[in-house]
Amino acid sequence: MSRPRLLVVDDHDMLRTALVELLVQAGFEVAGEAADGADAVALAKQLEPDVVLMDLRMPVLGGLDATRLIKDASPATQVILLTAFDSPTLQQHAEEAGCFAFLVKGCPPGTLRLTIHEAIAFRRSLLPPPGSPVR
Amino acid sequence: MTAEAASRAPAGEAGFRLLAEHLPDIILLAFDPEMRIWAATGAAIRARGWTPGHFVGKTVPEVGRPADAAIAEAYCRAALRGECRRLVTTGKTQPSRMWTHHYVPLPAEDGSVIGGMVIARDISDQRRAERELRASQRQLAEAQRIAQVGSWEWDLDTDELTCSDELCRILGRPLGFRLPLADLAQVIHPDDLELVAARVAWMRTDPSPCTIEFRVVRPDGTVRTVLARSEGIVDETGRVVRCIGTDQDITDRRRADAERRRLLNRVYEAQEGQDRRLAADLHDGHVQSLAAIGFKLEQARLRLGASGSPEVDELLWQVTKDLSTEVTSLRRTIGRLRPLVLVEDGLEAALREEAKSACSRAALAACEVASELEGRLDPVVETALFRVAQQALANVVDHACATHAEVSIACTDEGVVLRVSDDGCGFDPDHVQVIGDIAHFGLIAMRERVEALGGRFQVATAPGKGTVVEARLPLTDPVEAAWP
Repeated sequence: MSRPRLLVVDDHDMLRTALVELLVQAGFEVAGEAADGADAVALAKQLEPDVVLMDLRMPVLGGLDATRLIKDASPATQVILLTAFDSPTLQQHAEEAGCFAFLVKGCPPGTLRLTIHEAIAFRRSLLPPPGSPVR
Repeated sequence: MTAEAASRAPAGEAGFRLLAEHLPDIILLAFDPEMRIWAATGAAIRARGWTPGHFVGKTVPEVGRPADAAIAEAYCRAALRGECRRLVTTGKTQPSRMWTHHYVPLPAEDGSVIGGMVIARDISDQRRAERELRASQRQLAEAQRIAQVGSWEWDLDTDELTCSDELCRILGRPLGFRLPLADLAQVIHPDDLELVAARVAWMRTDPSPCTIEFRVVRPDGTVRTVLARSEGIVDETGRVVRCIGTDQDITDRRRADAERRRLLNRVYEAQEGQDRRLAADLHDGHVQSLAAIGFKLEQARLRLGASGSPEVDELLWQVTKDLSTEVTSLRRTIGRLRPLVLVEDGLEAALREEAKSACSRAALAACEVASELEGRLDPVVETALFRVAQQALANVVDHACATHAEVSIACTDEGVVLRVSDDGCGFDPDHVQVIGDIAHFGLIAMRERVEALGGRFQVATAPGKGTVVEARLPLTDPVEAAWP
């Protein structure tokens, strides 16, 4: 089974770099990085990642709008919203946009990796098993 | 005099003396063509210890003040020519007293002048009363001018309002201005005319004291705000026959109120702006950096892996966990400084989150939110109402010991009404004010916040009776407007 491929989207360079390094260290393949929602949509279309880690507030295009566009183009791709804001209403908006999960930055250690694994498992459950006839 | 009385009165000179002797403060002197006094009468003669003998046989100029002798002679001669004269002078023996002397002709039955009369009247008391009345009126007028309070009287029979000088000035009308009630529209601001007309109609039948605030328009177009107080006067049947009242010019006070509200509003806007900038700095800088540090710490733990010391791994795990706690705390601070949901989703959504949070923090059985809002309000109004609700719910959490709380927003023609109520322990509002600990409950801040936007703030509470915090805000022109 190939390594899960991730797309990391955040306009904060230091955080994005640290997150990418952590994910690589944790055994994930970071297929691409983006600093705004519009680049994220374009890269998602191009790279077809398993999971997108998406910031909420970014220039050009916000995380929720970018999520909607990615899910429209590739429903199997799972998006985890990773934001510094925490609110039930925001969680609801994230769910409505099609996010797999809503995580706050600074969440307890291990939560992020666990959620990514859950998202990957969910994505795989949506795809046909290997060896299935392709129509 | 009735016919019966006339028939009983003595005739001729005796009758004349009888009448004159009972006229207070009067001396009557009859003189012949030589100006010699042949009769003297009047109660004032006796009152001063004199007798007719002091006058009879002397000439008129002789009995008066020597300084008046020449004019007295001239006026006697005028009277003898059939003319009337009037002299105001001081007393001969008591210079402090004032007298009027009327010189009139004394006609015979055929109309020819056979002599004259001097009707002398002591007007000292009358003059003093007039002086006191004038002084009193001056003081009243001065007091009205200083206090900018005019007075008026409305006679319901003539249906006309009589205005004091100060009221004339307030209305920008000439002194002596009278206002027929049918012409109210000439004076009252068009927007307030219906209100005033309704109150006038009410006053026609109800004499109870009443107070009303409205605007008047001067002929030059200047608008003044007045506070009118009035009450009715009834006749023996209870019918209102007159109304009296005062109109106080409170234009300057209202302007000062508006200016105070404007300044307070600017203070709050500045504070919100500062909070917004601080929240942005914390969010865009510190929270992101701390989260990045957290990722690096976790990466370090992963790198150490199984080869690392368990103590170091435990230490890194603990530091990462502490960092997570601090970031969570920082996020809450950002949320308080600038609630994202208020900005993005509006007041109702923000109140629902705040109520949910309060419910959890205070272990309430329920904290309902009921809203009549159908769209977004002005951001300034939304922020103010949210801050009031936030503080009121914080009080519920910290002080109320409540089991249920409710937040409601109602919309009226005048504006929006926010209520935060609970079934908790309540408090004695007087006691809170007396001990000056009102700031502890944030009540002053809430009140100022609401009043800065021309709203009204009320707290209804009593020990053991729960608390209801109510904020009413006008929706239009929040700084200039005031809740009616």
